[in-house]
Amino acid sequence: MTCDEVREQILFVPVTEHGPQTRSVIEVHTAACERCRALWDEELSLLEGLQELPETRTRSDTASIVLARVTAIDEYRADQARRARSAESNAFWRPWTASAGLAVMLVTYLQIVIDGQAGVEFLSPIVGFGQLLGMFSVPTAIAFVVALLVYVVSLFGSASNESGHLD
Amino acid sequence: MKPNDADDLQSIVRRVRQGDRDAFGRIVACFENRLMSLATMIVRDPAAAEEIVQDTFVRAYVHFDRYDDQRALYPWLATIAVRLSQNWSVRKQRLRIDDNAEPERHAIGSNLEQELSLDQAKTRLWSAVEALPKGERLAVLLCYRQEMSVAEAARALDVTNGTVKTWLFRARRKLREELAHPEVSDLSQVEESI
Repeated sequence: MTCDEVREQILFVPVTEHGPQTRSVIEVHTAACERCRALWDEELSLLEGLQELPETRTRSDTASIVLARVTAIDEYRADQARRARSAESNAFWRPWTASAGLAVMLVTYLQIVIDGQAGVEFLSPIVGFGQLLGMFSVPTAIAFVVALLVYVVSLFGSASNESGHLD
Repeated sequence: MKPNDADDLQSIVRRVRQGDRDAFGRIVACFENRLMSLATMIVRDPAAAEEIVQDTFVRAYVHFDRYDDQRALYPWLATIAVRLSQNWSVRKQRLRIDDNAEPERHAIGSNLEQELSLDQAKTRLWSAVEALPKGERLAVLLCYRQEMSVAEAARALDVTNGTVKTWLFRARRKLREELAHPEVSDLSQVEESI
């Protein structure tokens, strides 16, 4: 290597990037060339100086703080996974339960109409609550209320399963 | 507590992937001070640097699936720390503009000298590094202090290898000049204090 090539290596390539072969070529050259050796020594002492600067240390409880946060994240993720599984199962059952609820309501309604307890007037939208209760037999009323509950729960039961954002 | 070699680190990484939090604790113990030095030099605020280091580890844990096993772990962590530090600096800068306040200069330098009782030469070198423009300072830190390759530093800083080499070249020239002729800067400091 000529002086120019060696100087180019020293000036333009960081010492940390020199491979063992390049380094040994530089060292052989600088052993014989005083001008290049001065530059090389300067570079090495700069590197040494930078590497000798002490590290700034973290607080003693950094690791425990990080682990506490990481644990909270794991718990959050596990909770999210549980919610996702529950939402998945709701997604399967919801249409079925809603349909079943609607079917039972329809059947009870038809039963009332066919029994003639309500007559044509029942089809009118304005029916007093007491009057409505009077039209139902007890089993029919129970079936109606259960069906209504099933329908409402199946529609809104998963409202609390909204997912949030991590991080 | 610290991983001894690359194989050890690889097995720790595997355990973290399997959900072993203690293994992640070993990674934290291994790299926290190195990351702290990096963040401190970028943001020049030890409290903020501490927070950044914690956030770096938490973010790394959350996105651990994005880490490529074929590459070294530290440069990946350093990349996250650099990004978080830069975001912090931008936010701080914005607040300063809003407040119309004077920028802080060399906030960490004097503290560090006191804490670590650096000798004169090291103090001068430290101050010279601190006085470098941001890109040059980061390149020096990552390549010389953090022993990352030019390619790894370029990835962390989101620039090309050529840019990192240019920054290093300029920084080394300035540092060499600074160390060879300290009187000039000392004089300017005296003038400043007057």
